[in-house]
Amino acid sequence: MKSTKYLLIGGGLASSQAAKQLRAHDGRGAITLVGEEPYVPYDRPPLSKEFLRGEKRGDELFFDPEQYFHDQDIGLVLGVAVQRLNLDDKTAILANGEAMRFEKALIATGGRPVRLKLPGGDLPGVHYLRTLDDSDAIATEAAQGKRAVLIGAGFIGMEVAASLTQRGVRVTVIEAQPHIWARFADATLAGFFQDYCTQKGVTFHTAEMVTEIRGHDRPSSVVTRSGKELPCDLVCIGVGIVPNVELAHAAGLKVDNGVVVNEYLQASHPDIYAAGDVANYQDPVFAKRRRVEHWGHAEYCGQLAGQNMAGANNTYDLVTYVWSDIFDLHLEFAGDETEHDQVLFRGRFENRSFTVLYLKRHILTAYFAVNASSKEFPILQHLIRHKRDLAGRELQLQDPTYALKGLL
Amino acid sequence: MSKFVKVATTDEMANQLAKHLAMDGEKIALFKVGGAFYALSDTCTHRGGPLSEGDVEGTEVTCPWHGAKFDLRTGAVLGPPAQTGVKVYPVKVTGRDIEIEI
Repeated sequence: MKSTKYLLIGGGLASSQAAKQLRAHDGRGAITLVGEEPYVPYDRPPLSKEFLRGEKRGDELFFDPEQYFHDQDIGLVLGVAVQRLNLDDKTAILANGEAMRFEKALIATGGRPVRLKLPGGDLPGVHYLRTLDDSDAIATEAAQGKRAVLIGAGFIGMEVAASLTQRGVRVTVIEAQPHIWARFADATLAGFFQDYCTQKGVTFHTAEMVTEIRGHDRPSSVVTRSGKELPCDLVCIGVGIVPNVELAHAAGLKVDNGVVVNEYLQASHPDIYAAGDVANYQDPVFAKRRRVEHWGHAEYCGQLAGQNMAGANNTYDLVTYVWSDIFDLHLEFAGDETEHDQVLFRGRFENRSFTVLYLKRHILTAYFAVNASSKEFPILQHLIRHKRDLAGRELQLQDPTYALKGLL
Repeated sequence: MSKFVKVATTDEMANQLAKHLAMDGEKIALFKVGGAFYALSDTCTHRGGPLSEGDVEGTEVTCPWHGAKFDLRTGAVLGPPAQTGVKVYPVKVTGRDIEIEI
């Protein structure tokens, strides 16, 4: 039976970062990274942006070339899933039948797109976006003049809408909520984005659902709940992801909307860690359990898990953030917007440069910045992390000419 | 062929510590620290943040987006989340002209 000291399950950002930290902190311990996709760990954000627009090639997305793993003596097993974990004798069974003994393992299996059960939903030309191959398949079909229907207007949905429009595809977005980004944006803020994207050529149908995808061997139209039939050549569905917890669950680890880990990212078995999209972790900044699907969180978690697997005792301490690029709007979001009782606008969105501040009991919980001065981000993150009482500061927060440093 | 190109004057930089320069498709950040000038790529290797808007302490700049730290003198990474350094450009001051080699 093969054996490794550290087994990294999952071939994404978190595993890649963990491998680097493990090698930095344990120069000799055997590290093995097992990934289901046939590629070395790569960067996913460009899949809805630069790669989809044809501005970057697939090999430009790899964090490190294969040679790097050889040089660092990090074993790679690619194109192979881990099928089973046996925690009693700390053995993993791989899909190729091999067994591998380990001392410590990281579960960084990420998530997979929620699949819609729709008539016609399995037709070729109906896409989900998670992997390089997914994005490649969309790009191949997204020729000038084609018509695409996008179901779901989250960050990725809107990025795909922008990228396909920039490729000359005629894009229609269908969103079940009354407006896009209903989770954190009110109708005014969402309206700003929808109007902006409409000017660029995107068509929206909100408070609307697709009930059927029609077509023989490819989609030719979608039918909506209100009875519209919209002709199309391809369909992209982006309605969220579910964490890949099956392996952890079957192994007997505690699972509750993700693999439950403590502030050290340790699962209910002390030699098992989880990181990234799949981890349900204790967030000390917001004093609650969260599962976060952001790139920066996966990067941070991978590093933290790697350090702790190698013997450190570091605790999670990140103000989570996410960014997005939609046409020429750069968005930076940080914090936890689900907790707020007050929303303040800093700047005017007519100027296409503003920051939305979310507060709860006068404490900043999140910000959402659009083409805003990034000099303010570290200050805003500081206010979130240290829970500064901002009662009575509302006018200053709303005044873009006021230097936020004065609130520190 | 690289050559020295005038990008600013010492008068312009009298009251500022950093300046963004858009040069032939390259984004460059020019910093002034204690009378010395440093030029480096204005695109953070982490996620592309503008280093010219970052806080500077000594010869260390912190990217305003996600906190990566770089050495102004060498471009080397001094703190995560960036993994690779940024390009630096030689700077020389001729009279009042600040020139960088690109």
